[in-house]
Amino acid sequence: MPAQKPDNSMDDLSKKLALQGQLEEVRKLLTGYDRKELEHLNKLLKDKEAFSEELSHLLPVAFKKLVDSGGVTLEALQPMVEEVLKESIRKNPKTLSDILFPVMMPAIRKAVAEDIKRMLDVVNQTLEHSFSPKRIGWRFQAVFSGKSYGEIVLSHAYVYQVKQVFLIHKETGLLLTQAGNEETTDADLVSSMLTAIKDFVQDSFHSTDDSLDTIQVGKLNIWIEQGPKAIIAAIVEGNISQNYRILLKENLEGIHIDYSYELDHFKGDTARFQKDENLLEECIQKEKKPEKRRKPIAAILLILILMGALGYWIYGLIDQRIRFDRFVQKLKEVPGLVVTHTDKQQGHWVVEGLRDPLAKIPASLFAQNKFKPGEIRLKLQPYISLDPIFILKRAHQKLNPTENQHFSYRNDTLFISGETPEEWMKSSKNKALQMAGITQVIFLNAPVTASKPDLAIEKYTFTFGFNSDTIPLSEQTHFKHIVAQTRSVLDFNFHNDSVPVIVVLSHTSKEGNKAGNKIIAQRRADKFIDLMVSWGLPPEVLIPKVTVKSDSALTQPVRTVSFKIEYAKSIRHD
Amino acid sequence: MIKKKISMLGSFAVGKTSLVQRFVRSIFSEKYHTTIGVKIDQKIIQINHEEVNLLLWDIHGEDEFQKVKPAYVMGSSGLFIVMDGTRRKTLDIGLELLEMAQKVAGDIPFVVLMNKSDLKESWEITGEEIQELKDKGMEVWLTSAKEDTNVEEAFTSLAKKTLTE
Ligand SMILES: Nc1nc2c(ncn2[C@@H]2O[C@H](COP(=O)(O)OP(=O)(O)O)[C@@H](O)[C@H]2O)c(=O)[nH]1
Ligand SMILES: [Mg+2]
Repeated sequence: MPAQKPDNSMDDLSKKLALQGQLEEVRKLLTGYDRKELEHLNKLLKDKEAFSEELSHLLPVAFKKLVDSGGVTLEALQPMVEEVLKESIRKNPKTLSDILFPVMMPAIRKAVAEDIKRMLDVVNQTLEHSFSPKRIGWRFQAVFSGKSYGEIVLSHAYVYQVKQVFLIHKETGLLLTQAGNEETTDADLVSSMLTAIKDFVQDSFHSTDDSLDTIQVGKLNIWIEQGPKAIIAAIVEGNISQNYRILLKENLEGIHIDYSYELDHFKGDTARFQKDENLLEECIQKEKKPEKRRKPIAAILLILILMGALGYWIYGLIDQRIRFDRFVQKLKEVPGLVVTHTDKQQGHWVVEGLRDPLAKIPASLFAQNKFKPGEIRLKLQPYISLDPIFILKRAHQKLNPTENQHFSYRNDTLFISGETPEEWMKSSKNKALQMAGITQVIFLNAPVTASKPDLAIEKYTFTFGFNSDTIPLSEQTHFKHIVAQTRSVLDFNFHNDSVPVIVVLSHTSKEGNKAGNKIIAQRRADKFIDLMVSWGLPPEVLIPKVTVKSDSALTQPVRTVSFKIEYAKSIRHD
Repeated sequence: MIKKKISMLGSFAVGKTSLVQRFVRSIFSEKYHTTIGVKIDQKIIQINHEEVNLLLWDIHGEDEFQKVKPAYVMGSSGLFIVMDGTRRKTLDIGLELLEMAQKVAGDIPFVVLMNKSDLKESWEITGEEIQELKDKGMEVWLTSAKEDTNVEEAFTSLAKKTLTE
């Protein structure tokens, strides 16, 4: 046991190995081979498989060397090789044809395809030459689009269409009957050609019956289904489903059963087959291309027109509404007129409100907003306007002042200036106090004349901007000092017999819009009065007075406000 | 309509294609070569007030490189065995082809066309040899595709035979 004497056995082994190495060394020196190589050679010679394998690598090289050196000529070898080939073919031709098949097939296929195409141009021609207005249209399309006619035909109408179906007698290649919408007079020829092609393919490639099941000729596909005695060939444009083959098969089977005798004894008389019109009818199939939906131009146009009309109508409504609103706005600005409600009733605009009998609605208001007078109904109730202008107007009507008298109104107070005889004063005071909006009457220029102190306010004039009633802040500060002085000098005690009043004179032009000018002049006066009230002056003594003058006749320039101190005899309404 | 398949058989260059051309289109011209080894034409003729559609299979001639495919002969109702009077060998090949065809298509009517009769001075096939064929019961026509001699007659004759038999 090696384990029991380890030292001894280890010693033995190493000795053996050393001896072996030496032997190897000696062999190498003597033979030039080492043992492994020798073993390999030995094995090669005994194992034929391995040896021929080894030789196969060497032989071609050796052979080439032999030919190159002129030791043997190709001419000498040729008969030998030919003999071998001949023998091989004699024994079993299929072997060689199988070997050559992959090499030859593509070339043959190409050549055959070329042939078929040439032969079957007949088919194309007959199909192409058929005439119909639609096809003439396609022809034009083909010319102008630069596409082939076939492409155009295909691109139209059908996903696929079986154009023609032939039932062919297998043995003779004769056409038994056909179906399809385009009768081809050359159908007989085509049938024979198809049979020849089928024969050729089957004969050349030892192929089984169903090897040739479709032939492509340009844009057409010929589907061939073979039975033992008859063949169905269908000429199809476009891509048909593979299920179509099943249909062909079933049809062909049916025909073989129904016409078994006729097929067996066929002598060239096809009448029997042609009689049955439905024989191949099932095989004629087509699927329409989903019609490209025509753009409904008429409908789109109609919608556009309707939308246009609707838009115009809406625009009209909006426009009318805008014009109406503008009209109402203007109406509201008319003094003595109050708009309480607007509405549209049965196509008519209605304005409800109140109108002072003295108020005048400018006739131009309708035309300015493109309304005919009838289009807007004004339902206006009479009322007494407390607008200062109307109070003044009514005061003028009632009191009938002389030329030298002047009326103004502010804060429920009617101011009457000018010559005022005692009698008239009494009666007019009573009349005035009965009028709406008047609670107090103050007569200016009373006979009392006090010594008038020299006041800065009477020399003050402020000129407004055009169409403006604003007083700049700096101006207000300046004016405030003037007012303070006025207040410190004047004694506004109403218990006195006469009271100083400050007439605020607002000058405006009578050019242009006179009414408008008047209103703005009034506002300017009011602005100053408001300021003065806020600074402590009693409102009762501040009397606005609007004067309208033609520009040329002006002593005071227009758009100004100035002040005048007068003394009034105060007559209070209890 | 009655339809008949007729096969043209014969060695290469005997004039099969020329004869068919002459018969079908009344012209004598162009060569037509096909890879599949057959070219088919048709012609409708009147026989006894009956229309017959002849499908003419012009099968490539036999030579050392190409063999006639028996499949093409199958189903024929009639045969033309075409020989070239100027080439002795075409007679033998013609007879061989006849034998082959009869094996494939059965005992069907046939007509021998001894073509290129316009070149009679250089014919190798003798009158005796032609007589021998006739003695065997064969119908022999001396034709010229080039000069349109007996072409119509020969075709009509074979067509009639296919109808009666
Ligand atoms: N002189 C003459 N030449 C002919 C006649 N028929 C054919 N040929 C010529 O013979 C050659 C072979 O004819 P072709 O019809 O191709 O023979 P195929 O091989 O049997 O089809 C062509 O050069 C023809 O012009 C004929 O009747 N007379
Ligand atoms: Mg030829």
